[in-house]
Amino acid sequence: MVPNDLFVLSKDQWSTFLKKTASNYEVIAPKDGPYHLEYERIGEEETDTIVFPGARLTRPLKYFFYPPRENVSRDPSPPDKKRVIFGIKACDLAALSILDNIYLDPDFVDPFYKTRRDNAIIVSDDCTKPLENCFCVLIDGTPFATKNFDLSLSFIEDQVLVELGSEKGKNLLDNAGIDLRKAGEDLLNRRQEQRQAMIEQLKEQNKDFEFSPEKLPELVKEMYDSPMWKEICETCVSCGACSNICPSCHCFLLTYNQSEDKKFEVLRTWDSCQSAGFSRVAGGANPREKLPSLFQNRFQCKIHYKPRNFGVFACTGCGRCNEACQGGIDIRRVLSLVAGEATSKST
Amino acid sequence: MKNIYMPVEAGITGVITESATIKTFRLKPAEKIPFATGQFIELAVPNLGEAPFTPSSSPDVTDRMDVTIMNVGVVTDKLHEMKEGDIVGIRGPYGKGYPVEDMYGKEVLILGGGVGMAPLRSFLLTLLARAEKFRKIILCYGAKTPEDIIYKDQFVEWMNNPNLSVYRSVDKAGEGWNETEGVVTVLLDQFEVDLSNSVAVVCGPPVMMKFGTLKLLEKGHKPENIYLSMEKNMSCGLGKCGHCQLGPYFVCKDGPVFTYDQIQDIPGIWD
Repeated sequence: MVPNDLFVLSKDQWSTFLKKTASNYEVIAPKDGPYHLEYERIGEEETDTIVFPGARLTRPLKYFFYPPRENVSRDPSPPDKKRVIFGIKACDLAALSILDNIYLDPDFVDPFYKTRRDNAIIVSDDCTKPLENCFCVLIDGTPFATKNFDLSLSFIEDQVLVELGSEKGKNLLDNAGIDLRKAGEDLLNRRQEQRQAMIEQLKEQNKDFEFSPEKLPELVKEMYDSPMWKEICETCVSCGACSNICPSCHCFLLTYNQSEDKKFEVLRTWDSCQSAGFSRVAGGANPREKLPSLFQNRFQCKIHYKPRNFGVFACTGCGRCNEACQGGIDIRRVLSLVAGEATSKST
Repeated sequence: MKNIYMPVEAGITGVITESATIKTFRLKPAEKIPFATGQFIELAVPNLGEAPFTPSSSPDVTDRMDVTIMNVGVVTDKLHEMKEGDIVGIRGPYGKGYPVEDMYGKEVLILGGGVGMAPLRSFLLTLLARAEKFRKIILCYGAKTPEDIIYKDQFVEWMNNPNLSVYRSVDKAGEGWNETEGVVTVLLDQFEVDLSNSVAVVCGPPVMMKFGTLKLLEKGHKPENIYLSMEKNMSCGLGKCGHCQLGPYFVCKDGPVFTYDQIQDIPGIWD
């Protein structure tokens, strides 16, 4: 793989970069909120209130590309200013691989998603303090960006290492008018050390969970008929919080508004395969009527169907569903159980 | 950039009552919508919603599109109230249709039940328009009662067509019915096909498709030669919203026509 260009910015240069960017673009970045960090619009004068978080925020990146409810019968025109989104972690970027495959599928490009995606510049940064529920390393992920970013940042003491990911990222740097210095070997090594330390930490905090990514799709597939799902989903109340908060869940419902002047005013609203009527047809038949098959669908989709169709897991190991689940269901535990059960079945 | 969510307007130019619960609507879209037989469209009722239907007219006819619709829910109920001159919307066509050219030179066995005859009529008309390309065309059709049979007038034509053999059954006959009484699968015992050179195309209610497929397999048809129209709850028709997911497939993109070998391992396909 050809290494991307790596530059180093001093503390002052970084400050200038943020200010210039906030004046030329619409900047969205994490800021302290009443309960936790939240993405906010950052004005030119406020760039020093930006907080670069140790791990991912609660809100997934997908909010910025297709909102929970949208009128899709209007004209998807581009915004006045391009948008720069800071504070994005590798797990959200991994989910973009799934979302882009779905919404930018060349047969049917979603013009609303595409317009937002084309006009957004994504700036990722390395994780420095994984959350209790993070487990990206168990599922082919890393606590630092390797794809789908425009710029990727590593904070090393008071210097900022910037990796270029795309033309958009390059333009962003150029527009800030800073003298760019290439990063030296020493800084690259420090970055590598910091990253490796995070990987070790994540492995350590997840040592009780046993599954390896390579075998997972086959193992989950074997579990189609397993009675084990019934036990696992005992505490599930089908609230759909997991789909809502998941960075790669993409399902929606098209409905028609009652409109005075338009015949076809179409709304696209987020939906979840966990809702009872998701696959019910007008005649009344419902293939996934009972909870175990309903519950199971999300895991089959993320760990078996999506890797089969797109070559990547649709679970990125971000752990948000663990935090959101009303029934205390931990996806790591589910995957461990599934892997264990399938393996013991075949031996 | 095309807005994939917006329908094209279409006027209703005719309404034909096929049975107590089924009507065929003749539609004329504002712009021509070419389709392949077996593909489906999302039909939009203004200010209410959409539902997916497979056109029942032949794709060779390009100035209109027929859809045959059973009244089962909110959208279809409103549709059944609509008349000539009313406006609806069409999005599509979507999905993979029947691979007609792959069937050239073969015996084609069509097995239809109830309103499942709608996509099959489009398929049958496509075959009949080039009947010399197929070794044999056989149509087996079953309905609940003689009144529930759709395309009654056309069946008279079809039964007199030298290029086509027609076998019909009803679950419950009553007076005046001199054809078979029983479920449609019993018709499969009334003739032979060349199993080494044939395909079977099935469409109807899920339970009929299940037993139809099982009977075909029992009679020696291979899974890769059995074509099924797997209709599911569709919302977008674009492979995005997830509602029609059938195992790893989106029925709206990878189907609705599947061969049995593609889907036989997926649980719950007949539900």
